[in-house]
Amino acid sequence: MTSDQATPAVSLKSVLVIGGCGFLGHHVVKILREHHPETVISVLDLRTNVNRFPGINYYDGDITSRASVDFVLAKEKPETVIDTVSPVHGLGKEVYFKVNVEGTRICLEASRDAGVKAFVWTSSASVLFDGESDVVNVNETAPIPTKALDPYTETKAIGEEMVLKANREGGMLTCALRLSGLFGEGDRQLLPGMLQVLANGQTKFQIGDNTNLFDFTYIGNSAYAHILAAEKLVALDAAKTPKSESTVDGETFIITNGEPVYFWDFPRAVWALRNHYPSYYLKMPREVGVALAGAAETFAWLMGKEPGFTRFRVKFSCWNRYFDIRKAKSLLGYKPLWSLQEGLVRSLQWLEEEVQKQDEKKGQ
Amino acid sequence: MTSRSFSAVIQELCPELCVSVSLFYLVLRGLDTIEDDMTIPFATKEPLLRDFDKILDKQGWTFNGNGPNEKDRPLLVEFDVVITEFAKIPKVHQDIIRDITRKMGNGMADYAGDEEHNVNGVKTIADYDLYCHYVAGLVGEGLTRLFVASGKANPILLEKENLSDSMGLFLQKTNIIRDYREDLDDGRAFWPKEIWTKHGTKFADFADPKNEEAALNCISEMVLDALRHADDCLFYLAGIKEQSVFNFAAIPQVMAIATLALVFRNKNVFQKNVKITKGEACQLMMEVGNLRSVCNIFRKYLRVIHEKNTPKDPNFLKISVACGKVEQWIENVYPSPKVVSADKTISGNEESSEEAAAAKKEAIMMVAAVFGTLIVLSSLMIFLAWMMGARFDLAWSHLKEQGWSPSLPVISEAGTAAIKEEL
Repeated sequence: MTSDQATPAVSLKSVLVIGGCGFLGHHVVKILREHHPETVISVLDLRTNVNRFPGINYYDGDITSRASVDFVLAKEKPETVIDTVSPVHGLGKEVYFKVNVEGTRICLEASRDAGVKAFVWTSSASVLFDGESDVVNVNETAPIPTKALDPYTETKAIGEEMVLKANREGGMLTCALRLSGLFGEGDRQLLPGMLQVLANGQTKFQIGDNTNLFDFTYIGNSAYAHILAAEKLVALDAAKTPKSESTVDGETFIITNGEPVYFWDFPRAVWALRNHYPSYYLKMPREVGVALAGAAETFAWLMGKEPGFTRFRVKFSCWNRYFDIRKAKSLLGYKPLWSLQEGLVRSLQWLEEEVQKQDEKKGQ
Repeated sequence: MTSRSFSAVIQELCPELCVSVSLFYLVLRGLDTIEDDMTIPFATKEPLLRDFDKILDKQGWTFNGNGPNEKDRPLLVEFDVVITEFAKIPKVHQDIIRDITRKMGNGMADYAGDEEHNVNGVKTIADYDLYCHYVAGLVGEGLTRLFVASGKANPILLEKENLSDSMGLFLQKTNIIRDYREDLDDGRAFWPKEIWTKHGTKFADFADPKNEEAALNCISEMVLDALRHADDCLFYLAGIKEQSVFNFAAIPQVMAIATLALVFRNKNVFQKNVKITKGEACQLMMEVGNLRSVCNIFRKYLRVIHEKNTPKDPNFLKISVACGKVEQWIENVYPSPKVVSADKTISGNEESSEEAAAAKKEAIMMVAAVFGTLIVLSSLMIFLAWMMGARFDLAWSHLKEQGWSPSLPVISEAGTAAIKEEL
């Protein structure tokens, strides 16, 4: 796709990527360098010793500390802040509130006080998911369920509201991007999980009839959307253009690959790229799957263990979960740079290289 | 007489369109009859094709140069009748038909004179699209202009030319895919090289059962290419207001999607002509009534394609994406009813306690089920063992005499004794 990159219409003077060494953040930095080679880029992250690029100013710091954030903002004076910070799943409620709510509030207030013009925040499409029903072609007009799926989702929804409310306060323009089903280079959850199923010899199982559609999103496209959003906010002259439905600021955008697929087709495509083709499939109706998962959960509960096979996971593999991204296409001018197939090929190549690196280290 | 599939739906059209569309069909059929006839030398054929639109104004014109085996020869021998009727339709319709005839005639003449195309077939997908545009896309354009001129369709369909083009291309590509064997036997190749050379070195190789896997992957990619027109077809149909015009446009499209589902990864395509059954065709005709039912038909056949899709196919994920794209288009137009969760919200706390109680009850039930199962299975095993001649009475006697903690020598002796008794 490199040869297809056009010169962006809008230049970005300076960008601070908060969480810029994380899974999403380092892709934002990578694509930002490619599309805006003149931009001064800096990164603030808890640890900055991984996923680094030359020519970038890296700062170790804690976003839950106002002094820490102020220090970087004073030193770099960024025109744009892209906040990609997002703790991984499975942590406690206190951590999520501290990072997603308190940390976001600190970044917002500090950025506004430092004269930042554009603030792009990473939200999650899971804020639209109540954990009990399908998400069918949902767009940004869908209400956020009052009963949150989990603490992560709850805190993301609160953070998002703060970001949108902060729009045009003190002259700073904000927006939030709701991401969904991320996979790609640096992926530690989605693709490794599917490859683990392959290693466990469990690829023949299918729960449900595989007619439910799911949005998987290649990380490069999600990162690119952040840059588009920043460009649109920077180009917007708030003094001349009052806030309306057609302005980008104060808005949230769902970002996907725009290529929903039948749920089980995606892992099967992963395994096919590893030359694995199950000779047959064991198809289990959803109700049977839920019952068996219930039994497994009960057994694990009695034994005091964490269950791997849960009712939620069974239902998840049978739910529709795909989104209407026309708003991002029309207002942001978003078009995925990589197709689902391309993203998958790139990701598996990266994983293979990672394994080789590990093997070389062991060999030394 | 010359059309088995279209004549029924043409006659169903409203009066002012029925005659014009019939004539449009016959004119293009005449053009096609000249183009198809390999017995006419190119020097004779070319001016006829390029000037066919002017012929429409020549009263009394006929043509007897077709070979005796050309099945539509009578049409041209009596073409003066068509010209006479053409003069009677509204001028605005005449202009549309003339314009399309001129474009199509020029396109056909270009292809007829294209040695590369005739000897080697279609090269790129872009060439494939262009060829289908000339033979079918232009028909869609002409019909659209007739519909709009008669007030039966939304004028926006004229602005979005890709929609009517897609209507034509979807039908034509489906026919080209389906007609592999027929075209091969006639020495023709319309599948684009850009696609089939990925899967084989000679077009005829796909007919060899040894190359079944490559052939299936190839036809799969051909169907994938055709599917990219499907959502445009549905979009086009959304712009039609009048029922008979809708039926006229929708019926061929649902036939096409049914045919695509039939030919997808179907090895029979390479050996013989493959068609949907007459029964299925009749049912489709009856089911077409409005856009929603057409969408349901499309979704149904997309699911058939999806079911036949296999990870071994190099385009497995892309086919899934193509089906998902059309399903999403349908969902944009006819959203699924959403489940209201307000009640759950109000009673959130109660649900928590209820859930806990349910979990506990479920646990108890599960434990009971497990132990019950164990008891039943144990009893069954003991019963079966007894039925097969196990001497439990002897075992019980030994246990009573020897106690419950036998030593090894005792076991050996007991075993030996038991065996001796049995023998």
